[in-house]
Amino acid sequence: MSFEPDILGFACNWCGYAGADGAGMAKLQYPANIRIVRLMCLGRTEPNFIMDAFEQGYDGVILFGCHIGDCHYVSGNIQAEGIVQEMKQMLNTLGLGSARLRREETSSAEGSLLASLVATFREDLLKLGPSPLKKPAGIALDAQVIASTQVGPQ
Amino acid sequence: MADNSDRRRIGCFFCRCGGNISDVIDLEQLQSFASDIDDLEFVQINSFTCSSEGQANLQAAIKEENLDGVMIGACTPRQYEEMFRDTIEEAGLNPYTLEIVNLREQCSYPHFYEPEKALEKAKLLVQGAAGKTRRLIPLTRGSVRISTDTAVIGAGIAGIHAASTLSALGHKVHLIERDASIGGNMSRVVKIFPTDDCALCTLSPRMDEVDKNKNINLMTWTDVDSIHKVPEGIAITVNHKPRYVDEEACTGCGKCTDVCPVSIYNGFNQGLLSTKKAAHKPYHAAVPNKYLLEKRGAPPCKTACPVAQNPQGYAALIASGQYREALALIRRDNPLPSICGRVCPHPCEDQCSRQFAGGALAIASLKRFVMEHPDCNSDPIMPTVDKRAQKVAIIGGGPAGLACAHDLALAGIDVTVFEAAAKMGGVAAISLPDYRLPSDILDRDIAFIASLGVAMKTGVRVTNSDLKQYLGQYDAVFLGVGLHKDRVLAVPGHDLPGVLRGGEYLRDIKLGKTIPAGENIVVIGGGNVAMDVARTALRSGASVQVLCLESDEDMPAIRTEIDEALEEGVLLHNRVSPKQFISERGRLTGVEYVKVSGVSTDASGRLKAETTAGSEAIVKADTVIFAIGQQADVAGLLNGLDIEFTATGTICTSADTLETSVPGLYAGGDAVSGPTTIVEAMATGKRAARAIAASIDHPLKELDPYPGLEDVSVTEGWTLGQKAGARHAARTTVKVLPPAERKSNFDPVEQAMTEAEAIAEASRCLQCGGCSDCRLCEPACEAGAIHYDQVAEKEELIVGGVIMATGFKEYDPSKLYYGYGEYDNVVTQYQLARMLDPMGPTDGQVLRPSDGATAKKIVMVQCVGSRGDAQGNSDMHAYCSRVCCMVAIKHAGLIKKSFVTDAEIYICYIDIRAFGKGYEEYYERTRNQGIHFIKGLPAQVRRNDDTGNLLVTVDDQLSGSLLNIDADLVVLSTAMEPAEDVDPLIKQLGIQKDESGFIKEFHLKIQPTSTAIKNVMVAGTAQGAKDITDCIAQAGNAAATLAGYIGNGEVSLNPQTAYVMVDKCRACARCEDACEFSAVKVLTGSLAAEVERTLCEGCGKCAAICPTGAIAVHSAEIEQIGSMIEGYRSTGTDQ
Repeated sequence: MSFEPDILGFACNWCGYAGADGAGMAKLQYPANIRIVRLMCLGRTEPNFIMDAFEQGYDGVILFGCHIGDCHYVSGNIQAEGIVQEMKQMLNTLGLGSARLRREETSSAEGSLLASLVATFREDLLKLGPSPLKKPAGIALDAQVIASTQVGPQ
Repeated sequence: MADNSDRRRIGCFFCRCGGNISDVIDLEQLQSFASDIDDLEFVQINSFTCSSEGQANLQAAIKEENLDGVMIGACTPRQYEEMFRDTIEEAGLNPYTLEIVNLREQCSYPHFYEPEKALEKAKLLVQGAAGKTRRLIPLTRGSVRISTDTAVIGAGIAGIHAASTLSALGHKVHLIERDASIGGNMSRVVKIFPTDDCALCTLSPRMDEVDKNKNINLMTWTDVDSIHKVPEGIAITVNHKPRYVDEEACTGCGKCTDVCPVSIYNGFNQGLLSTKKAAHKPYHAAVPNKYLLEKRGAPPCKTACPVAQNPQGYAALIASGQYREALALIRRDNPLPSICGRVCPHPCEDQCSRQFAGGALAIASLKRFVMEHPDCNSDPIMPTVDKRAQKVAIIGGGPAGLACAHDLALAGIDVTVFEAAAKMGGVAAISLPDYRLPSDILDRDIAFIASLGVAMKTGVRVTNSDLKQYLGQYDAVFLGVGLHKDRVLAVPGHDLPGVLRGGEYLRDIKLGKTIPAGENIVVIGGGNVAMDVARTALRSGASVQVLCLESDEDMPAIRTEIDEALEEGVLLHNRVSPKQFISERGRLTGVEYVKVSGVSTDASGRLKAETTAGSEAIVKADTVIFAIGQQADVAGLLNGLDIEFTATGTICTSADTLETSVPGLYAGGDAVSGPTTIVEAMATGKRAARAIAASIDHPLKELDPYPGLEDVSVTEGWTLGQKAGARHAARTTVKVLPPAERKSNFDPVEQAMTEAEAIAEASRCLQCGGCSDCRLCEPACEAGAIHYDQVAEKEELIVGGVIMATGFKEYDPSKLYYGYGEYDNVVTQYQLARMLDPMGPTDGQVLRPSDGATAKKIVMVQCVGSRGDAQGNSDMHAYCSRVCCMVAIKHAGLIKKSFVTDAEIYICYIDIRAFGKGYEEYYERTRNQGIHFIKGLPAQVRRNDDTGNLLVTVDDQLSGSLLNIDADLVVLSTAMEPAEDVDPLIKQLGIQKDESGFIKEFHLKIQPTSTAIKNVMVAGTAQGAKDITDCIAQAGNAAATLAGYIGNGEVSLNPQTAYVMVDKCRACARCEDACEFSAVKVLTGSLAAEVERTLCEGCGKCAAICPTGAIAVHSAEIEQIGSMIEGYRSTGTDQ
């Protein structure tokens, strides 16, 4: 079977998650590869959540939050952006490549934007191929990491 | 938190949603998948879980299956999560043991055409949710009591309506208004569209209602200093600005306005053709009906004056013809005004705000005018004095001594002045040449001081033993003996006959002695004494040359004195120093001088010249007069007293009190400070008087007229003056005798102003301090309501919620090319509204402000400052201000109907927006009155300088023709923009602004009055441009929403908040920095952060950045989110 990327989404309740709901209500179609974790605010996003996701084998992680300046909690999206930038560096260091992590700004009214962003992310991940950390049954994680570093950064 | 390893009994309920879910996702397959998941003990499919039947099924299953957690696979949790929490709570479960799986909006809908993939995704969503549900922890909602009081900030129409609605709903309201009256912008608009009702007739009853309503605490002239969320609601610190009028006592009679001489910018009329008195009420229908004195701070002229005189006050009084009052005001601060009117270097004029338009006010000349006005001399206003027992002796009757005597006498203290000369007045009496200060003028001031009960003993030279005796006899002694020993330079020949001393020379001339002086006189020095000597010598018929160390611009003498000396024929040599005096047979014949290359100051403060060798030259001289400064001559007088002296021989005193090291002995004037000006000497006398009075337990009654106010700066003064309509007006030049007429006699050089000149000049004063502190209103107020020493008072309020009704301000159109601020006949719609007011500045006539002629041809320009996008102008706002089309239509219709029926009116527009109920019909009616609507905006407005008419060129897009309109009046329909100084409140509250700067609503469409903070509402134009109708609708909604939230004060709390695990916390306070709601704090002395639950919004920023994982959020625990991350992961069909 062909490769289909496994995408984890994080979305804030007010903009990202509401936008995804909006896309659904408008019956806008986007790839089923994504599952979204609802947070009250993207400011809740911990570096560990992102690391955890990649360790679990997700091919990509995408964060949907309010536009900068529109955060329901004033500055949660700004904090999230800081964490995303740090994690992108970490992903480069680890050889996974920063392209597997994205933060997008979609208001509750921008369901169509969200749908297209999911589709684009899937296509980009298809080009990148499976995450080297993807866990095939029976192969130890350590061996995978070693293998991926030999391939080099994406 | 804790991974609950105990087995759970979770019920899972899938909803078909009438096919919305089940048509895409095979729920039976999903059910069987779910049944295999650990802890999912019960899995059921319902048709409509949200229906009463579905909820009943849910509740039955909870009880029958003894469930301890619930998952519902249905629509988005954003829809029914709260409802289902209540449902399961009714069935005995904790409401927070619920997790919703979004099978509809995020699965069946967006993957409608891929049922298989939708099913696979649904399985993962269920798997993740199950993991989380297993780890859900019961939470207690809890509640908090908040205040049921409310506050409304801003009392325009929105604030007024919100306050009365809140009051009707049973809440006490603090209605806070920063202006002195409520009513806001609506009070100025005269008529309202589309009904053409009188604005004040509709507004006044509403204003009265909030004023009289016992449930509304109306605070006008009150600023909000700070506003913060607290557990009890919102804490507000308000600052009641001083009115200087007791609000309780004021009866609103207006007598203070009648006597007030100060006219300032009238904001109510937008400055149009009117000013207002500093003592005023904002407008005729103001609520509350109370007056105030608008004080801004000490004007720059007052702060520049060593004796803190009040030029603004006496300028105002002179302008209104009240000369006696002006003199009394001058005398309040200045005991010797006749001197200052003539010989003061007037630092006040250097600081005058008027200097930017026509030159500084001629303050000294105005004072002289008052001094010499007959009214003031025949019948001066005398202060009342209560006599006291204390006695003070003053040695020296010069400016310092007399000033000290004057102030002490006013306080009732018995003062005796001992003067060695035959006349009182010191240098002013014995040294100032008559052409500068005639003796009889000075005598009036001295007589006035004597009339206060000051004993004056002239011709008494106080000796050392007298002084010692006085120190025992009197409560205090003040020494103001001045400097009377002329300094000389010890150059060769300085002791020749014919070398005189300046001070002595002037004294002898003043006393009428004939001084044997020759024909060629050389004066040495560059100060005022040197100029006096030179000009006096000139008047004896000699030719006079002055040798001066300083360069022309550095000379210490007053500029006019130098200039007048030069005009009279004095020859000035700058940057030279005498080297020797040349004599023949014992007679002085010349002065050899040398050029000076540099001047330095030695350790003792004296000037030292560096000379250029070889630059020597000789001037012919038969007399040389030294005028290089004077020294104190007090060694004999102070012999045996323990007094210290400076290196230059002046007396050492305490800087504040001027007391010497001998207790009870004070000193001031030049004997302390070295050579200065008369006004500075007086300042020291006054300072000593204050200290003496305090030391003998009788402090001077001094009233600080500007308590707590900052001084007005020169530029601020000018800005205020411009706002009030100040135009360029040249300073009145005082007539000066021509040099030919004056140089041979001692007649006064400067002439006094005529009455007309004085009034015109005094009227140029910008009155930049607002209230001038003339204190005429105090006696005028029969209610005794005037209190000049009122200070601002702060008050703390705790309220349950706030409505922000802070309103708008008008866009400043002077940024654009329409000539606003440049041409008088370009006005704004607000100014036109003031003209249409029968009680307004033009009594209801539409005039050209430039000449008062009726405006017949009027052009209105729309979208001034609005819709910048449409016009490609980045100086303007992008939004439409919504009311301007209707305002222009209203004003045009009113003018045609009632004011100037034959007027020709053009409205230049982009689009006409007549959007409200009855507006289109109103527009239609007005259009039929023959008003010209032109689609297109003029690019600029120019003026025909001959006629004063305004030339408006506009391209009419409908007819395609270019119109040139020769208009009388151009009216700009200016944009609304957010009111000033609201930003700090927005920031402190943690609410947001939109891109235009208005307060941001929670949801533009469906929650337009809520903000991000639940108990903060926004109403009216604070939220965005809107008309009165919409303001009222929104204010009512804001009030009702806020009342609904506050209820009886019991507000339930969201339990999904942050909490701290004390054992992991190391009190680094990163959480405190991250929190936008001040909910997390590391208190001083505490070893761990603490969360204030009532303030926490549950965003989780703190938890995300905690380095030790010590802070977590209920229902968003790491384990709960981790189990979703794990459960959502595809099992990997591609491998």
